[in-house]
Amino acid sequence: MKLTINREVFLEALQRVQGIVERKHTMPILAHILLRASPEGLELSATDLEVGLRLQYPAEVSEPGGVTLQAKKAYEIARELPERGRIGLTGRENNWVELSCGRARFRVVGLPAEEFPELPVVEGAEPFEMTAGVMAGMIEKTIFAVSTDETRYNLSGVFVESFAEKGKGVLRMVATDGHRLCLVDEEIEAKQAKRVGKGVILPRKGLLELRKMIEEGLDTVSLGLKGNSAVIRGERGVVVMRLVEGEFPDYRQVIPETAGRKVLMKREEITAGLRRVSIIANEKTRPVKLMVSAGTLVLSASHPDLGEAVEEMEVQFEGEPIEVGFNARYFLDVLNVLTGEEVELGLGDEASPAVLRAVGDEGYLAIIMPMRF
Amino acid sequence: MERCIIHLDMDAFYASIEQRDHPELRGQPVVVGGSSRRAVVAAASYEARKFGIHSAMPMMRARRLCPDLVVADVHMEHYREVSRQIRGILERHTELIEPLALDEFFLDVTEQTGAIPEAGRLAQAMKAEIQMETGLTGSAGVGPNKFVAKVASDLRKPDGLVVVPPAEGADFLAPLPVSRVWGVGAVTERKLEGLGIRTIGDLAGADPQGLERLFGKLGPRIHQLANGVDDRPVQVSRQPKSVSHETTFEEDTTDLDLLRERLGRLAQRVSERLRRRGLQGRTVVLKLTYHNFQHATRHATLEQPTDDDRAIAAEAARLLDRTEAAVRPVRLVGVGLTGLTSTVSAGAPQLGLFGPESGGPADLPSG
Repeated sequence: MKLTINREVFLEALQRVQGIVERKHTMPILAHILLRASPEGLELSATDLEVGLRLQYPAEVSEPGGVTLQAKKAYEIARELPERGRIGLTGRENNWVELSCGRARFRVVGLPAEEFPELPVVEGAEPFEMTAGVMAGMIEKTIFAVSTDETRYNLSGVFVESFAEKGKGVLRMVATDGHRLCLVDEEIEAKQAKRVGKGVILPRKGLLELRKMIEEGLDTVSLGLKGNSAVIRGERGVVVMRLVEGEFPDYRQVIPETAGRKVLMKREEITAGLRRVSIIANEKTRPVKLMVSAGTLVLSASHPDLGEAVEEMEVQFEGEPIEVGFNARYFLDVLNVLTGEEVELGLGDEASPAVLRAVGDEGYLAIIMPMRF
Repeated sequence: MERCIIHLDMDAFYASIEQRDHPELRGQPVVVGGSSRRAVVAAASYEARKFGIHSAMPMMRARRLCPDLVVADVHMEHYREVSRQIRGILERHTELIEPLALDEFFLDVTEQTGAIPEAGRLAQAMKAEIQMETGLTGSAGVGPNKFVAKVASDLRKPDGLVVVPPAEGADFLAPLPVSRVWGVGAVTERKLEGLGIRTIGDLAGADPQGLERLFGKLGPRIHQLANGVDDRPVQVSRQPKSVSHETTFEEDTTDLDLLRERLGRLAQRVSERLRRRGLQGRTVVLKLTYHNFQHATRHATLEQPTDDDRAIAAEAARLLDRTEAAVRPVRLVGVGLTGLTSTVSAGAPQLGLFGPESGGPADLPSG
């Protein structure tokens, strides 16, 4: 293999894949990236076996071929090479790679390119397509609720399904950590309603890569599913991810059918109020008590070592007063992604799930379980 | 007040269920157990017992004793289901039930009956209901305490009922061999025999201080039992300190994949038991026995208590990497969870959406 590539392009490429590269060194090859040169340019691959990236960059290739490079070292080298320089990359015998730029020359050891794990190919399946901005919004509204508890593997991703409802297509994303759940629907073309089907769980890390791809400038997201893999096509290449195995819980059964008590409040007021009051609450669980009575909401928190905080605000509410405790973090996570002036909080009793949504946005809701006081 | 205790012991429970479900097995010598070389008999039908076969006997030996022996697979989940059904029947009569095993229960029916003969009639009614609804028979013993009731239930198996009035407790026990007394094993039995003590009656008449000198704390306890005195209450729920399962390999192995696969299955069983009892545990324990019978255990404590089989299996697999399993052949592997807490207690302030702690549409463990 022999090629030259613009230093800035190479640096960007290396930076882009650092997040994927496995750091735990369970398999040495996963700390490497695969470089493959062809007349079209340089293709760079990285994977941790859960999520993989395959990206295409412009390069002048004089001899096709493949090498691997230790990802972190390659990045450190490229970063220190002279700006606006051109880097020469040459594969030598026994997996050695020569890297030159200006007067600097590196000879580094690689691993056999054939040993690099193949990224799954998803072809044949008709891809699901969606405007990138809409998809990014859906990810934004759910990803924070994904469980980070390694023991709850089936909750370690966002559940995605598509179906037809009243003649329209719907794409739905649901995420939960077992304590709160977020659900977002977006309309899609009816002909696409079956393309995601009964549902898959996309891993959190894969969705973060997708979001990065969208941020880099992507108009349409194209999602292909086959077997236990998903491939998302972007301008530069693809993100490949292994679907999370396991059964996503039946989220429908935890969505309360009737709200019981409906409290309408100003989004900015409740957000600011919760932020202030939760300063006093216990760091880890942030329990804040909500006391609702006719026209009034009182937020309060106390901490055995710190003291207490109370804040009162006007809300629209008629009905039986109630006191319920919640983790303020769970509320703030949702409030941060809601738009619109008013939010609606549906409350059952002290041990029933609460429903939080923006007034006028039927497509998004969050379910939050209370804390016991 | 004089207590009325019933001990109910189902007859050849697993084997009877298999015979009930498979008519072609009725009247046949049937044992329930695995079919591997090292399997043991989990239960033997009365027909099989005539050949001298009993539970815990190596399967190989049982086959030698009875060449026509029918070996039925173990269907533990099914036996549990039947056990729950029986428990349901018992619960119609009293809430004070202490299960000792799937097929054994102590019941305190003092409040319902008030006198031993009345308790005897209740035991008869329970037996009849169980037989009618499950097609299975059990033997019951009725007495003023657990010890007498337990000894009584064992006296006329199968389908027996022995009622011991309080005043007759000691007389009833007297002619029986001392080995019937709880705590008297083979060693104690031999020592007692050296003293000329063969029956419970002999033991009841022995000098308690002498017994204490010989057997320590055990001495006065067996002396009391022999005299028909036993104050232990029927304990309604016994929260276990740990839940574990283990399995012995057909052949010693160094195959890590096989070990991991087994760990997965054991973790599943641990998880099932935890969920049924509404428990979660924080510390995963891996137990290994190497080919030379040397034991090794490894522990890991999780951040949060769990009852999830994947989490338990994953942690156990990590612990496996900290043993010599890859290089030393392993004979037995076990997975357990300790540091148990109840999922239904107020211990967890954050309520869950799906778990039994949710208070919502929960998947509460039954029984």
